Amino acid sequence: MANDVIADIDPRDELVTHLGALRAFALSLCRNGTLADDLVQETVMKAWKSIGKFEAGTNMRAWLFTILRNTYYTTYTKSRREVADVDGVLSGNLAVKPEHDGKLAYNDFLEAFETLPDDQREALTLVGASGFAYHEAAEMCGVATGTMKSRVNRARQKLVELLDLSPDDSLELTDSGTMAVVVAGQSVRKN
Amino acid sequence: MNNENRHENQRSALIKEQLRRSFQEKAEEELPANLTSLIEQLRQQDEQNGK
Repeated sequence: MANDVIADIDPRDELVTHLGALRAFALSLCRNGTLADDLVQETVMKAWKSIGKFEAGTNMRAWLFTILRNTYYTTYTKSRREVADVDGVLSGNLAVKPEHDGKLAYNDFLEAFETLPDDQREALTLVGASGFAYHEAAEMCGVATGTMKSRVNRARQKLVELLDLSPDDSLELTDSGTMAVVVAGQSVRKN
Repeated sequence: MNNENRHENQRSALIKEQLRRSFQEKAEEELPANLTSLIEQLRQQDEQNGK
């Protein structure tokens, strides 16, 4: 029954619903708004052309992210990537609208995140931000699950160092939204 | 749970939340006009080709 419903959805309609996330992934990889938009366009054209190969009921977002990632690493050469954001396009494109008390911390976070190596930034984006499981992210990147875990851990550790997240500082780094998560986590542990 | 573990969990929660926020904000940005035009173009092509 559920599979029938899934099969009835035109995959092209579903593809359109993932464009925002696809662009967010591209921005995380490229760190350059213009480049990211080109990459998304190229990905959409490839996916549209191959839409018949997409298996209904499987994870379209993972499929699209994989196409985007492969396109990025095969087409967008290292030299092109190194010019990332020279004109501040990404900074201008980032819709950063932090709340007053979290502004500094959030901008610090964004800056620190962008200094991570490509593979770590990608790992954190897939697992920490997009919600993919380790094994899914590993499959998308063509690496072992253990490698993906290791990349995520190294990236987190690097962020902790870059942001100088000592135990005392960590609470100052929060805005109200983040604080809610921290407090909720503490409540769960107490119960 | 000792203090170090508690702080480690707090740091992880902070990073996770900032990551989600960053990704979410990017994902919610308005799509560029040329991307929406491309989708329209592709749909029109499919219609013309009877797909």
